[in-house]
Amino acid sequence: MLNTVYLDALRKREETLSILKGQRFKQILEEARRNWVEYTPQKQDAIIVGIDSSYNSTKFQGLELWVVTAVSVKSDGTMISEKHSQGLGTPNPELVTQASQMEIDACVASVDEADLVALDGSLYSQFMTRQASLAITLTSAIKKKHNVIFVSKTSVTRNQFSKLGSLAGDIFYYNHAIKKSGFSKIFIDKEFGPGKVISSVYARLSDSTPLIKIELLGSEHNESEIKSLLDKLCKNSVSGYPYALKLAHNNCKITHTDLARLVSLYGLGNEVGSREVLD
Amino acid sequence: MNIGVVIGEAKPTEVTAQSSRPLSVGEYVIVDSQNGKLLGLVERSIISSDALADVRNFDEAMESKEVAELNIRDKNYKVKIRILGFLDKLQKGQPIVPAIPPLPGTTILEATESDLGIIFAPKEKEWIRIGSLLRNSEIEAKINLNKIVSRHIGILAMTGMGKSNLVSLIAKHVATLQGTLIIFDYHNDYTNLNVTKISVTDAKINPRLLQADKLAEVIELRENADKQQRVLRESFTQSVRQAKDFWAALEDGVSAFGHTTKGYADSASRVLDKIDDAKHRFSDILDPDCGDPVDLIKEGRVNVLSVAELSERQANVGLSYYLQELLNDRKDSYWAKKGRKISGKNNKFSAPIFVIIEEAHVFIPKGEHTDTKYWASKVAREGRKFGIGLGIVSQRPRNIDPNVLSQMGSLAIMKIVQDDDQQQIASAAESLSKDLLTQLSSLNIGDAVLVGQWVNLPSIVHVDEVKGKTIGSDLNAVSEWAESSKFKEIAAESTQGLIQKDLLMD
Repeated sequence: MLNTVYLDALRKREETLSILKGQRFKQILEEARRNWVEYTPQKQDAIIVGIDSSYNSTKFQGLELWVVTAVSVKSDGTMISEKHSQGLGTPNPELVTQASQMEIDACVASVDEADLVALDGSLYSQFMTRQASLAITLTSAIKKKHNVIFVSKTSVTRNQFSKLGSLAGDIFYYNHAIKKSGFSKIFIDKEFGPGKVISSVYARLSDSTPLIKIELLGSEHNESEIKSLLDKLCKNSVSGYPYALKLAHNNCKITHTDLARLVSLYGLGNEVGSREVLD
Repeated sequence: MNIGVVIGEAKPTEVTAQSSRPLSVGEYVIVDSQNGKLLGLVERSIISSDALADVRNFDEAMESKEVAELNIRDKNYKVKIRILGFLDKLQKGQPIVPAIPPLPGTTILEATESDLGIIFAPKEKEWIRIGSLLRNSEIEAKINLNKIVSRHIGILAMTGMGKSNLVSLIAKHVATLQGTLIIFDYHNDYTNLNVTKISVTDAKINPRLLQADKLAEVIELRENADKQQRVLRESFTQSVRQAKDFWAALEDGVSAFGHTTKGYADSASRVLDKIDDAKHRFSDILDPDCGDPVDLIKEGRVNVLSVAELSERQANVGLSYYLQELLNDRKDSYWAKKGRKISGKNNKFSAPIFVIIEEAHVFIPKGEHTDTKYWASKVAREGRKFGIGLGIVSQRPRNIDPNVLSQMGSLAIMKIVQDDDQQQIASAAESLSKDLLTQLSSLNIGDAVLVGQWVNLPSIVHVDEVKGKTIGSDLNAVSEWAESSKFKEIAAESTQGLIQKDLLMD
């Protein structure tokens, strides 16, 4: 079977990779270059807080053992907020909503403690998938000091080059077009209506590092504000990614091993199906 | 003071701990277990940084370094601790390991002087100070001299790492305690040993007292020269042994045998040449009129017997003779004390003696028979009963006979880099763990791992430097060259001044 797959791949190679070649691809890259602002961030001292959440669960015979965590941590390792929830049964509200609520709680607890609060992920997903009540809490937390941003290493949004027939996410074309540090011109998306306007840029903190996507709430942002933002992020970043976010991720992630430990602590190790988490 | 917590899987003999500060390998700690305080030895110490893990390039390393310095939680200090036993039992000399491992979460405490002092520096007079614990430097490190004499020691290290200093230190203490120590000094390292009650003499060989095959070795007859060996054997009669002029009698005997036995004239002539050669070359060593060479050794003193002038074969004959005689003397003395006098002669040594053999790999080699090896092995086996201790010193443990090495009840191991040397030591010393073994290459001059019966616990110590020591140190070639060229200049100047140029002829 696999041999057939491989042969087919060889046959279709040119056609499949055509998205990386050709006139249309070159056109998009050209557009991406035009849209790029070259800028070398100057390291600026700032207290940066990273926020991230994690959830995991295991199911056996209709039961679900679940756990949700969220943390808010400074670049120097100081914890500002640690939240968690766990239970046996059907999680209510669903885990993703609980995680989002915790992130927002952590954000509320952090805005007064830092120069910049960076949440891992996207404002889009917050507005698209979360309950409306959460969006209100979130926007009011962001507006309190206007120091909250969303940072993601990957993005699938295809807003900027769709009119040129782009097939991949916008980040893909920026990554291919430019290797220098800087950021894309601010893209303003008003899709979610007033009060939920999202401004976003793709940024590179130093040459040849991976791009990150930065999202901010509202439309009143300018390039000098983005430059100042990059200056602050640059100070404590490793390979173009804010260290506070790395710390937050490392501190909150619930791995299968952690879940297996929890299964053992609950004394559920002998329940049928419970050992699957150990695999 | 709380310095860590047991984490992960714990075993009765080994735990892993997360510590609040980096702990040194060789440091003693207290594991405050549910069943009582346990003494632990840090055998492995690992520091890691979350930020600096999995760094892919230099730029990333520099950025990670910056954030790592900022993050107070970045560093991770993990240690592996070997559990040596319950502290209170160890203080009474009983190494009792717990049956149940310490629970994860058990506190690790700093070991204090009162915890360790009783174990490493007992007050009894047989315990002598040798230095201080390397990682707990306020604690004295002592060794039990009784165990050295009764169970033997091996001092193993690379050249220049402090073997002769340790021997000197032991010698100094033995001299203070009026013990008898004999050092077979192969490189004249101990002739200037600064201790009271020292006797420095050249080791002698009295040819009258040797067996014919040993005399053949001493005068350097080839082992496979069967005819020459026979000439000597037949000529070395009892009357020759007792003759007033030993060499003349031996030469007469050899000549006579050559003349009277058909086909042996040439061989006898070669033996005569060898005798003549030995008489002249080794006149200081081969002394038929020196009586019993063992008489050179003085009881209650440090005796340095120089074997530097002897060839390896001669030294081997000399050493084996001394070891044999010393063991026999101690045996006689022992039986005499028990009321069973065997030989008629008076015993020279009434109290236990301790013998140190330098360059042990030459005299007690692996895979090769030597007489010294035979007698050293016998002393190692029987010495405990009869009061003769053996100390072997070597920089090449891999070349020492493993049977003899494994009979050394105590070991001082200093810096050893070669893997096969380490493996040989590991197989000889059961109490030396793999982790402790890996530390041998990182020891500095004067640092030693002490294992065996002369210490209550395996310990890493820094040996005191013997003050005024003029032994075993490397030559200062640079300053000696400078001194020598200075004298040349003086000589050149003084002669130039004496030449009257107007008297020189064209």
